[in-house]
Amino acid sequence: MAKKIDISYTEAMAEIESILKQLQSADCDVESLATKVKRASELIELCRKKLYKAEADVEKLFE
Amino acid sequence: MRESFSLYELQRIVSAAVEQALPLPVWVSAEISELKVNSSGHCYLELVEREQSSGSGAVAKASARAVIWKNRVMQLFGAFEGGTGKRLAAGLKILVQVIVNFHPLYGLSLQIVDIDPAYTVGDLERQKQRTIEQLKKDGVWDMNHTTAIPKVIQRIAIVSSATAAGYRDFMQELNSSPYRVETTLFAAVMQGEESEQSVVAALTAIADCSEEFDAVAIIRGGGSTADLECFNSYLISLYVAQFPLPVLSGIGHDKDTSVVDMVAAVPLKTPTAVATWICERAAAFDGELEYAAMLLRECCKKVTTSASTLLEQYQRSIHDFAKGAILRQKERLASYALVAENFAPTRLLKLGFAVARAKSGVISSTTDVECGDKITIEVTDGILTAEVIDKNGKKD
Repeated sequence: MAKKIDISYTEAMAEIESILKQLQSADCDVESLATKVKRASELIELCRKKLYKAEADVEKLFE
Repeated sequence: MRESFSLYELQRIVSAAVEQALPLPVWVSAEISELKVNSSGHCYLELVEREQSSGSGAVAKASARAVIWKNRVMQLFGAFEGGTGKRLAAGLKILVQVIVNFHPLYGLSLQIVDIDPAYTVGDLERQKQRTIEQLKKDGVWDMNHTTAIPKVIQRIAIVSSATAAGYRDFMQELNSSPYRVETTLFAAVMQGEESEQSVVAALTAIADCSEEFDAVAIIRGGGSTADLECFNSYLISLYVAQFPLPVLSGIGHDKDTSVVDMVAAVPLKTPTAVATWICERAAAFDGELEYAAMLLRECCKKVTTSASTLLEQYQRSIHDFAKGAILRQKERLASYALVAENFAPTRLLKLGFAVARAKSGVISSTTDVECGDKITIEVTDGILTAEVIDKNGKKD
């Protein structure tokens, strides 16, 4: 499943939250579990990168 | 022939009468209408008293010549200037002690022997108070006080003499600051009779292009009270009070505050003080910016920190929730296995249940067999063979 990874921070956070909700539900699909966890981890990593970049950009502005 | 006096005789009589009437020096208040010191060092004055004493334009109702002899000039001029800060000059009201002389040849003359500077000081103060009251009555007193002063003054129109030390000090102070201020000089005469018209002309010129400036500085280095008298002028004060830009005054007087100072938006002591004020104001704004930048930085830090914390929490949750989901499925499977185990045939046989089979298959009804049919019965440890003897027996 080649989901787009070039998404905004807000979209990524919303998707992570949606995956978290699915994982908590009783009828969580076992077969797609690993895929979901992988997707969520990728999104978290993406958000982290975006956050680091934002932090660095802000610091640069104050130099 | 009628009885007559020669002119000299007449003047002698008047002289004697005057001497008899006023044998001792007397104090007289009057206004100086003319004053000059001649080449021999004597000072000649024309004294007047006007109707209602309402300004120099009023009609004189008395006048007299007066003189300060050379030997008293230094002393009286010094005492007067020391007491009032002003040089004796035309236009001033004075209180003097005089010896009244009537000379047959020169007529009446008042010989000034003493002067009371306090009287003149009081009169100037009264004039100043009248100017203040008039400005208040005109409704202009607070007008310049309420003009908006920009947070940073970057373009300033200066009213000063181009050659004054005060102007130099002002520029030096501005140039030593790290903040850039554009200055434009509107040169004016800052003392003496011409000053009123000159300062008003400079202010008018600035008003014509007021949008090019943030404020006006009226500066004048230290001087005697007399030099600075023009800053009590009604006309200059009226212009300053109504000026569309905030006026910063830096008129270097050590004692009084002038009326211009009172109506100016920002009264300061000296030209240097005006420059310092402008620079400090810029520095204060710079500080505000610095503080705002710090707040902004802190806010950004808060946002990124909380975002980072949330991401950490999500990562842990993903892990925990995934493990939870797997665990839940395991439990579900285990419970299914238990059910399956409970219904397993071997377990049922052990409990005493048996499987009866005919040729046609598992017997689940009496109709599946006939009497005399051979059937097998499966129990835990083997198979029994039996024959149906009766099939009409009812269940209990």
